[in-house]
Amino acid sequence: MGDTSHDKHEPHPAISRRNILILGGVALVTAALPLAFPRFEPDSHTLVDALAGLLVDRDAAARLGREWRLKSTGAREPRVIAASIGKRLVPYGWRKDGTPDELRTALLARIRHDFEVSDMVGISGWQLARTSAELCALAASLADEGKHDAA
Amino acid sequence: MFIDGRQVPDGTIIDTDIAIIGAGAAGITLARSFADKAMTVTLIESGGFDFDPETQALYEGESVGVPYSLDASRLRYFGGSTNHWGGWCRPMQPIDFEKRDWVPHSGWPITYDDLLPYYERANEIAQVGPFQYNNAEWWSDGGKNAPLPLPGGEVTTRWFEYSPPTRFGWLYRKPIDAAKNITTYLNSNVLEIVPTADASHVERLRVGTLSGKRFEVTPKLVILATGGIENARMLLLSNSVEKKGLGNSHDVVGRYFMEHPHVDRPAEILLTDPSVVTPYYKTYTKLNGASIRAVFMFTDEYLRAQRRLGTVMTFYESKEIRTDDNYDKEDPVSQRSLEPDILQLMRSASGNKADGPVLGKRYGTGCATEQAPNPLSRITLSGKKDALGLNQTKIDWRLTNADRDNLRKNLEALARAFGQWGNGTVRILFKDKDKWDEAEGWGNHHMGTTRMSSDPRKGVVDANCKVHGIDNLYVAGSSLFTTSATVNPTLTLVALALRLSDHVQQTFTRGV
Repeated sequence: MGDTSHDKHEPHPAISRRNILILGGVALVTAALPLAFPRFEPDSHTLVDALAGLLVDRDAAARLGREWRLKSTGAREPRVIAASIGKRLVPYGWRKDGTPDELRTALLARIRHDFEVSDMVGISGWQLARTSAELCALAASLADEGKHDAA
Repeated sequence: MFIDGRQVPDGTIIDTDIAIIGAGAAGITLARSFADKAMTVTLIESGGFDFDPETQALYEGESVGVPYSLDASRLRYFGGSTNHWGGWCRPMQPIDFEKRDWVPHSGWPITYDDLLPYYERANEIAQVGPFQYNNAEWWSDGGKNAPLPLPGGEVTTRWFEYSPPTRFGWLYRKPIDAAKNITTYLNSNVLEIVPTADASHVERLRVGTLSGKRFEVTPKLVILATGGIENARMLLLSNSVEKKGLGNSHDVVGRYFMEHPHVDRPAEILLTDPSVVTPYYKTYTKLNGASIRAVFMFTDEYLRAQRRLGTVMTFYESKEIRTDDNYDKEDPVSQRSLEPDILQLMRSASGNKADGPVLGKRYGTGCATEQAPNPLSRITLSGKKDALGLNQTKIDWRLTNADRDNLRKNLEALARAFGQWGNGTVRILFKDKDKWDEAEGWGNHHMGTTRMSSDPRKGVVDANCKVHGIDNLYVAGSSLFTTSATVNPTLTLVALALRLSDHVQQTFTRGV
């Protein structure tokens, strides 16, 4: 067997103070990660597709999404954007295993709610619901990735 | 009877019960209401029966604030500014008369209910249709012409009714001529309202013509009805006894000048389904005995909750939006090419894919907005003199950032309403600026300069339109308005004149 430090020295009976600090730091970072980066749901790809499927003109939505991105610092990854929209739709009846019609119903309700509470974003002066703007950002990101060619 | 003042011998003294200075909407309404009553009435009008440039030039003056045209915004001949008004009629809302703690200097000493019976009579005088301004059921005509169902309770549809427009000088000339107790002096300018030495009572009116004649009127009671700017000027010019002007012991005369700033296309609206837009939104429409137009206004609940002042918005058809559109490069509004995209986005949310290339319509808007009463916005006397040797008007119209911000917030409320409805998206084009030092337009609505208040420190006249501290001097016209609301002032000033007429007649019954 080769000469290793383990061979030469007895293992330390206890974890060193330095290692405790390192391990603690790793644990903290691990715990914080889900807060910093929305976790992809196992079926977030499905949600991306479902949301994109609601758009009657994906190129149109992508153009609006690019306009919005000029002044927003939102996510660029489609699955992240879709997960964010999904969270906004949950209180309006959206379920992961729901139908496209249920998804649209939840989307419409959420858009109305956004307007009700004045959660609007301006794109060249047009006042859109934040959820609509996110949907456009999703379309823009998908177009940038070369996916979902124009319907 | 009409008399040309230029034919009156110099030094003539005319005794009368009531002198009305000015034959515009208010003066003519008052004179008619006194016709054939047991009192003599002298109506004094600066102009003749037609436009005369020399007389009109008496309106010239200086503008030192937000640029404003003093001579083009009113007319100085028999009938006054009704000779060019557009006929838009609508009463103020009850909230407009209230003391609103978020609107400095608001609160009339009278209520909407006090004025309501006079509004109904004013409707007849202005030849308007039925008094149904807020009655959606009346104009819906059994549902055929339903207003847009905008949710949210912030924006609502209300209706203006149109006067033909009544030219008061033409329509009411004959009955005034025929009234045995009314004498009208044309081409006659009141140079000063002269009070007694203690300034508590008007003794006489000094009158002059551009041709140089001078005569006097000695009335028991005077009603000043020369318009929203000139009423203040006349009081300030009447300074031989009270050096600061009549009724001006608290330095209120001329202050609180208000207009309705007009903004063309402060917002645009894209609709996916234009078929729901009843024609009365888009243009004058004859319906149920009236000529009407629907507008968007803001509900009392919204104004109270958000602490806002009002705005009235017109709405007109602008352009069909198509997928195969070629955008006009000359159009000053940028990003027009995104319009189909916005409509497609709305259609995505509702699952309503267009069958063909037509995606919806663009609608333009116009607006008139309420400005808060501001004592710094005012009329004073200029150092320059007119052809009669009187100081011209100096106007310092002020608009504030708060007025601008108010309009902006109201446009956001409009966006919320259309967004919640789901069939429309609003584009706000009204720019954010750090000051409002130039108005795109205005309504030729001169208000507030002899405002009504029970407190002489806050207003020039009391609830009966009597000048504080002077027992026989009254004011009529839009200068009385304590706040401006958002609606055209003529119907309200005619209603106020009718109410004043009742008060004056009661005063005469009791004995002046």
